[in-house]
Amino acid sequence: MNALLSIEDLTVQYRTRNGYSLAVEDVNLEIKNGEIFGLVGESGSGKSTLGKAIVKLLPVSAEIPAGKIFFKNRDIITLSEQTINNEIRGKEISMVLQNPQNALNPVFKVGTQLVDVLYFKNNKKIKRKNLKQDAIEMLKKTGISDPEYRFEEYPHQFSGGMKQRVLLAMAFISHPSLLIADEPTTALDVTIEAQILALLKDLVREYGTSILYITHDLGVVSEITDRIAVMYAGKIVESAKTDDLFDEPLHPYTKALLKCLPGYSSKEQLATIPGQVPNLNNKPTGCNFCPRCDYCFALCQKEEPRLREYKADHSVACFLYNQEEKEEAEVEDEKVNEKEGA
Amino acid sequence: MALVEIDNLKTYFHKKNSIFHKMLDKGPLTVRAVDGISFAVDKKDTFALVGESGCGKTTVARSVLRLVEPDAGSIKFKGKDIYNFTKQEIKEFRRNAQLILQDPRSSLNPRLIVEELISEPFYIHGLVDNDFDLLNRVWDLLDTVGLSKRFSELFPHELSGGQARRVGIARALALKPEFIVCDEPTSGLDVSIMSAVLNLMQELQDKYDLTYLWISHNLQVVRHISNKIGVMYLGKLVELGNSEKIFSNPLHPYTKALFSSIHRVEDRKKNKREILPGEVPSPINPPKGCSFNPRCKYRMEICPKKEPQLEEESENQLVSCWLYNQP
Repeated sequence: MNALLSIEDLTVQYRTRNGYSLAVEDVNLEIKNGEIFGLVGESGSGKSTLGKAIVKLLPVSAEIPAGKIFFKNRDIITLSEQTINNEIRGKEISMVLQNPQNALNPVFKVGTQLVDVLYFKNNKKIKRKNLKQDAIEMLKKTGISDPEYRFEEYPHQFSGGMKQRVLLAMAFISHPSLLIADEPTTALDVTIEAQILALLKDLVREYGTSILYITHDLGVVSEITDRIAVMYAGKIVESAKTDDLFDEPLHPYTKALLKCLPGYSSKEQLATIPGQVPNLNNKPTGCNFCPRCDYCFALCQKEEPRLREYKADHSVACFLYNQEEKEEAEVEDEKVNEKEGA
Repeated sequence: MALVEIDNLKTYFHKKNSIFHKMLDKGPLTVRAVDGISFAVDKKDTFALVGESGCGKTTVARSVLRLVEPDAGSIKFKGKDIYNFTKQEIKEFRRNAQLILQDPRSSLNPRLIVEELISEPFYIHGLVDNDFDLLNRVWDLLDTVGLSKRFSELFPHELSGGQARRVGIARALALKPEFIVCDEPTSGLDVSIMSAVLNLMQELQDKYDLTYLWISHNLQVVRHISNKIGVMYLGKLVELGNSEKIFSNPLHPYTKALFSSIHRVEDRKKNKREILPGEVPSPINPPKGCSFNPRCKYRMEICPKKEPQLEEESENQLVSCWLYNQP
């Protein structure tokens, strides 16, 4: 297995008052070494839940009834909390969250928080003052000017973009093999976003870290990722190399999503997707996207399409691209029609 | 005649001096949120103000609606200065100019149902004849924004982001205004919902001859919806004019850098991206001369010394930069 992370048939559900709500359902994905993998979807599609499941940071109301998460050939789900804390979190897998304002502790100096990562990574064996130099070095690498001075400052003295740089420094300081970036630039201005993305690319090149980049911004994802998976209502509906996906989107949902983006010159009407994301407590039978799909036919309402490889490195979960099953269903339909006719 | 004319608007916020500050004798602290802005919005136009956070876009919007008192300059609505309005005229203006706020859900009172939320403006302006008429009007409004009658019974927390946004639009439309200020109306919405909201707002503009002042930092949206734009930096307009023209040929170095940092699906194979170094300086103590000069890669000798003025470079495109205006 050359994959760094491979997720097999993962299902995550939340206990709610109205029964279980399936946030992630039968997800399969693989992230290779040194790859930037984009996970795209609208709010409520389960992308953040998937990200949290990988580091086992799900809230108590969440359960994982099925599936495996292999990270460097170890199944994370079966590992104990202590092993994960000592060996995985912050060392092998780091995370950068959406809101830089809330991710830093306001009562500790930025430098202290940064050194803490190294201190605990070395199991408290090295004294903090001996780690300071490494931390300052890291701050410098993330483009913070005058790092010795800023090391002694508190988070409120940093701007949003600077805080995100500090968080990236915290994530990369332990040289992780995988970084989970959950919408790291949504709270930032475009010019700062461009700075952060450029920095992220540099750091990946330097450390060879793989990234799981979770976002709803198709523009950002198109530029920095190598491969993309599109999620809809807890399932991956399409997964492909970035260029293939944008050159030739297959799934009707991906197509519709791309059409919704405000284009450049045309002042015409934008395309919309009618209807709403299905209720996760009570998903429709058959394909989740079926009620909103333009191409929906009889089979879609009955059975659920599985993610299948359509061509090399391009999988899609849609009966339109699964000729055999489609034809079978059509034959069956005809039979039913004949019977009814007779 | 333009519907809204803004002439040399200056809105400053004066910070109260702390005792330490007085001891150090540094003089009054003034945040120059908007520092000399002039533009006009014609009827049925969509004028977009773009810029990074903290550049003063929202302060302009609030000044235009008479929600903050400017320090200097004038704002004319239909040819009359809004800060010289009589009480009666203010009431008329409040009906005629509406605001759509950024956060769809927190801009709705959580204790009122949608029907009450939408009928509130009618009560405030004393336009209620009988309750049955009012309910019909609420239903009509819900219908205009694409929601069914069923929604009139719901509380804001029962609505999705897109639905809450539609209720906000219905509230703004209730009194048949001519002018609507939209402060980041699509931020926080998913792509598919955003496109539906944009379509709706364009339809409504055609139907009711609305004029929008559109505040946004989403440049893709601005390009789609606006026909005129003003690019703001540190409380000043650096470029102003026809939207199509500016997007196809930005002149000011800041506009260029701003547009170049947009991530678009279509541009993914192009590799040149201009990354603007540094961050926006503090508006308490803006740089001397051109306020963009510390971050500008075309900086010349004159830039830190003298401030350029907004001058017409070509038809429908004004820019304030020494590269174009000879000193």
